[in-house]
Amino acid sequence: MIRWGTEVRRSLGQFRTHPLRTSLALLGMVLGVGSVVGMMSIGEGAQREIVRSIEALGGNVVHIRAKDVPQERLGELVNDSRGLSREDVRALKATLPELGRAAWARFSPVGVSDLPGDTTSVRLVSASPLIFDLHRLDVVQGRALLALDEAAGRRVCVVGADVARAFDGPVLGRRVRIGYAYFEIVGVLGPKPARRDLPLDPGTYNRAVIVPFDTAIETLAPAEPYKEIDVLSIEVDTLERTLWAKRAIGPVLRTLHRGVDDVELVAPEEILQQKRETQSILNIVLISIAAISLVVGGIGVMNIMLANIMERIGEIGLRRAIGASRADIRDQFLVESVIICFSGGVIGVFFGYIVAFLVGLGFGLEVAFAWEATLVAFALSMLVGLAFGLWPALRASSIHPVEALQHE
Amino acid sequence: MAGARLALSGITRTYTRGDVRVPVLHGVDLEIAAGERVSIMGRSGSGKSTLLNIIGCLDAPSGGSYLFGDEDVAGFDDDRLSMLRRTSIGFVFQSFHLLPSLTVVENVGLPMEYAHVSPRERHTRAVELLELVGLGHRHDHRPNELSGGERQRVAIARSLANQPRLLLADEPTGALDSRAQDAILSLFETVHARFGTTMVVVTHDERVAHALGDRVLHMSDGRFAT
Ligand SMILES: Nc1ncnc2c1ncn2[C@@H]1O[C@H](COP(=O)(O)OP(=O)(O)O)[C@@H](O)[C@H]1O
Ligand SMILES: [Mg+2]
Repeated sequence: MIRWGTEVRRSLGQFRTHPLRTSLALLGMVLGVGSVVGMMSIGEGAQREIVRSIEALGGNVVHIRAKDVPQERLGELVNDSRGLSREDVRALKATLPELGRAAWARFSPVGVSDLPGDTTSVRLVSASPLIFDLHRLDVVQGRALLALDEAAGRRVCVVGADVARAFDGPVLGRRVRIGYAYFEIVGVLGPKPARRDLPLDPGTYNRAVIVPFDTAIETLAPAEPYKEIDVLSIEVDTLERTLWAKRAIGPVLRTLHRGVDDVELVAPEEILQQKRETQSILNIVLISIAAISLVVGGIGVMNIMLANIMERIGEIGLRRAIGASRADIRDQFLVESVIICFSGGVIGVFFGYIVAFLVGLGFGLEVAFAWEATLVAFALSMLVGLAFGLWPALRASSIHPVEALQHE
Repeated sequence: MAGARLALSGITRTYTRGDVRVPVLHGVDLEIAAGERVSIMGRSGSGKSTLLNIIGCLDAPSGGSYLFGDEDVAGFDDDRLSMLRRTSIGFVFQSFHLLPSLTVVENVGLPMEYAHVSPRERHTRAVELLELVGLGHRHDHRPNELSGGERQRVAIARSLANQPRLLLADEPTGALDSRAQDAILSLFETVHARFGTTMVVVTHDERVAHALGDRVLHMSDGRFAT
């Protein structure tokens, strides 16, 4: 039987009678629980950041990338393979009817001029309009490229966030010169997070000028005999299905290219799994650090519980004399240590979130404030209270009542 | 609430200090009628407190039999002894043993917490008991704000909290000046007259022994002198 009101009051009374000692024990718990919460927030944040960056280029899309082939090997290659081309799209769809919509893009070396700022890193992307859907390109001003643009051979383009930012005044309606033709800017993309560690960096689009694929072939540069497109993206039902798609598409392409290994397949699910694996190793390290600090906090609490008990042996004797059983004494001290740990836990949760927030701010990490972390922290702090309070409590309860009463 | 009848026979208690066995009680026989008042006198170290602790179920005898009412408590385990102390026995100590962090009323109500009495009921009964011991006006004081005599009166009120059938006191006036002593003696009289509790008091003061005992026993070297 536990009288919570009384116990809470008694435990809080510890602050009055022993402010320094109790605060130190509490501090240990604050640091312990704080590091658990902090580490969980940072770990969870990293987890979400991975998912988001994967989804930044379309989660349920497999990407087929043409490999860079050295100029000198091109001659022998073209006899067997014509490289990645729109022909492949038709063939794949015929062989694998489960595949969904497809979009393709080519990165051309054609110079783009009439742009303000540094144009050397600007990339010309000739793309089929569906690329906006499949690569999750958000148009924040104007419009995306349309099928009609391609069909009519319109000279229009959409520019990336960095390209647009370099302009003074309105961007829509401006003309930029690409090769020998002028293209009108009809849309501006929102910024994409840069992820250089991914096979397809979404950040590429920030410095892109996107033109309709067919228009580009007509007006800028005719299709080359080898490697008509650089990237082919094909939609499937779910993120998980991308693994299957990768396995299914690979052999088909190999046949189409007569055994020449000149493409590379990227399945978001696979990247996600690899990233998660790395992250989970990191998480284990983080959690171990948190666990150690929690144990250190627990030892601090155990220490003050032992000191409290030594000081209150007379009280224990009196309580036994008026009828407290061993279990009553044990519970009294257990509850006390749980309450101290829990108070430390509550403060620790705030502390952990603040530290995680600051760390996130300082290192530019994403931090996720998961309510699960709060629950885990509360449960853990109570568990620490029980685990590290148990031994002192058992000691207190096993003192003989007569000896306890004689103790001065 | 009637007093308890006690019957101890052949009670021994041997302490072990390291490897050395120190016999303290050598077969004590004692019968106390329900509602009777017994004083135990004797030199320091003769075993009075040891016997009182056994009577009060704080300690178990090494041998012998002990009937508390109709129950043979010599074989009780710790939990049953605790239960018996909680429901049937009140203790008064020489050094009061009040908890300094609790108010007077809370100290008096403490035994009722272990008997699962509701807080409201606890408070009502504690206030009544404080009235009885003449401290009705001191509810919310802390023990350290009271004189020794007042503290002992609080302790007596506390010992009555669960309406015990047996009231035990070990040198209850040992720490008090003679005026406070008188007040405590007459308070014990009042309590006995009111509740009819069986009482056993250990003291080395002749006057106290006779004031509080219908019967005065002398202990020497772990036995009652005959
Ligand atoms: N816990 C103990 N361990 C060993 N010896 C003890 C213990 N308690 C009491 N004694 C011894 O038992 C004897 C009787 O003690 P006690 O009952 O306290 O005597 P009294 O109350 O008559 O002064 C003393 O010699 C004391 O030293
Ligand atoms: Mg004694």
